[in-house]
Amino acid sequence: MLTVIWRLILLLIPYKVNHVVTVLQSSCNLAELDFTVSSTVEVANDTGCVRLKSHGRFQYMEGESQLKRTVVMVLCLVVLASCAVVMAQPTDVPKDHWAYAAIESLSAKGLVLGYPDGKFVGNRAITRYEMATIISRVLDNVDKSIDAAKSGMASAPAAPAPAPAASSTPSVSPEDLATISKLVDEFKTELAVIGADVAGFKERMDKQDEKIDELQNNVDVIKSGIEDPEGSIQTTISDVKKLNKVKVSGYLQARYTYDFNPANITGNTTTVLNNAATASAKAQQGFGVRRGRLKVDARPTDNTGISYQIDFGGGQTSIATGTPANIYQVVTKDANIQYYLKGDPGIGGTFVLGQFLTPFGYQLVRSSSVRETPEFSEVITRLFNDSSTLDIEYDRGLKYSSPTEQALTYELGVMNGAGPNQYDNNQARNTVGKIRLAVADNIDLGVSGYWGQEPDGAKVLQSINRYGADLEIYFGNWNLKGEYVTAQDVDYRAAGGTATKWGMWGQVTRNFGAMDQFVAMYDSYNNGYNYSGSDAGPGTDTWNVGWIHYMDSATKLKFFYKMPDNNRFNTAIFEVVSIF
Amino acid sequence: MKLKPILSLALAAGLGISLLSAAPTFAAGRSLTIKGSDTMVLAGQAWAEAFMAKYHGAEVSVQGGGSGTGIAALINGTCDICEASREMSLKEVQSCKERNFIPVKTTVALDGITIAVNSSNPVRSLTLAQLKGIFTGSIKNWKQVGGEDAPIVVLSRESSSGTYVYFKQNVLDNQNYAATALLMPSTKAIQQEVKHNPNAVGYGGVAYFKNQKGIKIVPVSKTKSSPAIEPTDDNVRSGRYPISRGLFFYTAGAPKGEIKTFVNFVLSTEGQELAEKKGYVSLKKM
Repeated sequence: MLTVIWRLILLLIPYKVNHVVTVLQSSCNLAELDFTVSSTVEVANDTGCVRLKSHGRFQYMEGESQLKRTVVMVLCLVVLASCAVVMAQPTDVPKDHWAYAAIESLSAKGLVLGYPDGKFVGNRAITRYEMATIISRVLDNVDKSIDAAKSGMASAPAAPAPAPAASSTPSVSPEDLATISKLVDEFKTELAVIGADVAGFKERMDKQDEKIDELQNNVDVIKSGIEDPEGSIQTTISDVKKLNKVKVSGYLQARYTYDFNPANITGNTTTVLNNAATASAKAQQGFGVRRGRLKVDARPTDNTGISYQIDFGGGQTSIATGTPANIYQVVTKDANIQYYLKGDPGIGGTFVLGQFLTPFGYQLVRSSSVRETPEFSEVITRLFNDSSTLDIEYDRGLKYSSPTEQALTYELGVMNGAGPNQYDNNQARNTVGKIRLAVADNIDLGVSGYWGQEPDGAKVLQSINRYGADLEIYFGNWNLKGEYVTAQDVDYRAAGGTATKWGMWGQVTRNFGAMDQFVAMYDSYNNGYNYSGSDAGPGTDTWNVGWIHYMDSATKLKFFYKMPDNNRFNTAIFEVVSIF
Repeated sequence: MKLKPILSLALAAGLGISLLSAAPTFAAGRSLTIKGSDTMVLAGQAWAEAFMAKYHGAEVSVQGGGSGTGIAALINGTCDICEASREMSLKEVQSCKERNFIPVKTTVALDGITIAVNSSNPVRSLTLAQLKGIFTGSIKNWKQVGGEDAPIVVLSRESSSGTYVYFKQNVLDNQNYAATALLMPSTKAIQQEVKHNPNAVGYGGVAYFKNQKGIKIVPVSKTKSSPAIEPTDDNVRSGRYPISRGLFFYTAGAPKGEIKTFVNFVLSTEGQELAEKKGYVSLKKM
C-alpha cells in the first residue's frame, strides 16, 4: 500500500506538462520507529530523459499515532521526491570549462547522465560500453525528432508560414543519419551487449531517410507557393500592404442625461423637450448619442496624408432654437491634407490645409474620447464652441506643426475665423498659435494666442483676440490640469462695443488602480457684455465631479454630476464611450 | 552604562522587527504580469522562474510580442511591467498621461544588437554605413561588401518590435527598411533562417546568436577606418560596440509593492548573474 502511495506521489510531482514520469523502482519499508525510501525515476520530455535516484530515511518519535506517522511520511516523500528533481546536472564541471556548455546541453537532453554521485569525471577515459549507451540514447532522440517534425507538417500542410521559415528542415539531416549509422557499425558489438536492437535500427534509419525526403519535398512545395510572385500569398501580402495605408478609427458616446428640478426654471415645464426657454436654461432628459465619430486617415505616400472625420450625434434637444428633436446630424469635422516634411511627424514638421481643430490651448484640441469630463468647460465652450457667437472649434485654414517628438512643440495657423457652421462674411484672416513646453517629465506648460477680426451685430469688423495659458502636472496617482483664457470679443448682437470675457477651469484626477479614476473639475466663466442699458450678463461657476471606470482597452463608463450656480439646474450624466 | 536586560531585549526586538519590516515582501496569491520585448523575453522568463522559486506563492507570467505590444498593455492597464528594448516615444508617454500616469523607466540590462550571417558567409566585418545600405536595400549583393556574388536576403523584425524601431532610428537614420526585407515575427525566427540560409543577414539581441551552430556574428565598425568591434560584454558595457543599447522595465509610476520587489530582485547580483547566463550584458561587471 505504501509503495503504491509512493508511486502515485512521484507521478503527481508538478513537472512541466511535457514531462513523463516513469517510476522504475521504488521501495518503502516501514518499521516500528523508522522507514526508508528509495526510488529510481526516469523523467522524459521532448528532448531526452533524465534518470534520478533518491533515498531517504526517517525516524518517528515513540508515542506518535499511526495517522500522524502516515501523514508525516507522505509529506516527507513529497519533499524527498521534489528535491531529487533538481539533481540533474553534473556537479564537478567548472562553469568556465571549455566543455561546460556542451556537457550541459548533453545532460539537459538526457544523453549523458553522469555517475550515481552526480559527477562527470571528465578526465577519465570513456569505455566502449559507455559510448554505446550514449549512441543508444541518440537513436531514441533521432526517432522522436523526425516523427515530431513529420506530425507537425501533417497537421498544417498548407499553412503559409512566413516565407523564410519554409527553408527550414527537420533538425536531423541525412548527413547526420549517415554519421550515426557509422557509429552504430563501429559499436555494434557493444550495442548488442547492452541490448540495443542494431538490426532494427538499420531498418528504422532507412525509413527515416524516406521520411526526411518526404518532408523536404513538402517544404519545397510550400516554399515555391509562398515565393511565387503571381501566387495568392504574395498577392495577399501586397493587398494587405495597401490596406495598411488606410486607417479607420472612431468612437461613440452613448449617454443618459438627467436634469434635476427643471420646473424651477422660468418657463420650463416637466415636458422639457417642448419648451422654448432660453438656450442656456434648456433642460434635457433621456437617452441619446452625444457623439459618434468616424475618421479615415490615409497615407498614400510617406509624405502625404489625408484625413476625413464625420460626426453623427447630438441626439438631444437642439439647444439654440429649443425645437424638440432628437436629431442626429452628420457634420464634417476634419477634412484636410497633411504634408509631412520628413515622412514622420515625430521628427519633421507638418503642413495641414483644410478643416481642422483650431490649434489653441489644451482642452480645445483634445478629443472628446479622451477628455475626462463629458463636455468642455464653460470658458472653452463660450469662446470657441458657441453657435450664437463664435463657433471655431473646427475651422478652415492652413497651419504648420513642429515635430512632435521634442520637448518644445508649437503650431501656427491662419484661419477663416468662421468655423464650418457659419458663413465667412469677411475677408479678414485670423491668426492662431500655441507653444507647449515639457518642463519636466511630469510637468507641461502651454501658452496660446488668437488674433483676428469679426463682424459685430451691425456687420462692422471689430478686432478680437484670445489669450490662454495651460498647465498639466502629474504626481503619483494624481494629476492637476488647468487653463486660463481671456478674450476681447465683439458684441455679436449689436453695433459697436466690445466685451472682455475671461474664464478658467481646474481639474484634479486621481487613479484608483489601473482601471478607475475620480475626477473633480471647477470652472468659472465671466461674460463681460457691457452695452448700454444691459447688465454685464451672467457668469457661471460650475463644479463637475465624476468617476471613470475602464472596462477594457476600448470601453469606459463615466458618471458625472454637474452643479452650476446662477439658478441653473444640476445634471447627472451616465455615459459609455467606446473607441476603436 | 549597562542596559538592563529587559531594555536589551526590547532593543533587540525592535531591531528584529525593523529588519523584518525592511525585508522584501510578496503577498501570497498576488500575480505579476510582464509583457513586451521579444529581445528580453529569455531574461524575463529566467528572472520570473528564479523569483518564483525564491518567493513561494508568487506568480509571475512573462509574454513577448514586442516592445510596442508591451507598451500598449501598460497604457491599457493589462500588465504590471512592460519590458522594452527601446525608449517610449513622447506620443506613447502622452497616451500614458491620458490614463493619468507617468511611465517610469528602469534600466535592467544591456544589449548589443548583433548582426548575424550564416557561418558559411565569408564577410569579415561591416561598417554602419554598409549596414544601412544593406537594410535599406541600396546594397543588394554580398560582393559589394566583400562577400560572394550572391543576393542579400534581408531579415528584419516587425514594426511592433523595439529592436526594429531602435535599429531603424540608430542604424538606418529613420529611413525605411528595404521593400524586399522579410519581416520575421521573432528573433528566434531570424536565428533559424540565418542558420539555414547562406545569403541571409539579420539582427537581434546578442543572446539569440551567441554560441549558435551555423551562425556567425559579424563585428561592426563605425567607419571604414575604425576597428571592427564584436558585441562582447565589455564592449557593450563600455559603449565601444556601435549598436549598444539599454534594456528597460517600464512601470506605471515608480515601482511599488510587489512590482518593486521584483525589480529589486532583477537588479540584484543574483538577477544580473541570471541575465548574463542567458546571454545579456549585466549593468556592472560580475
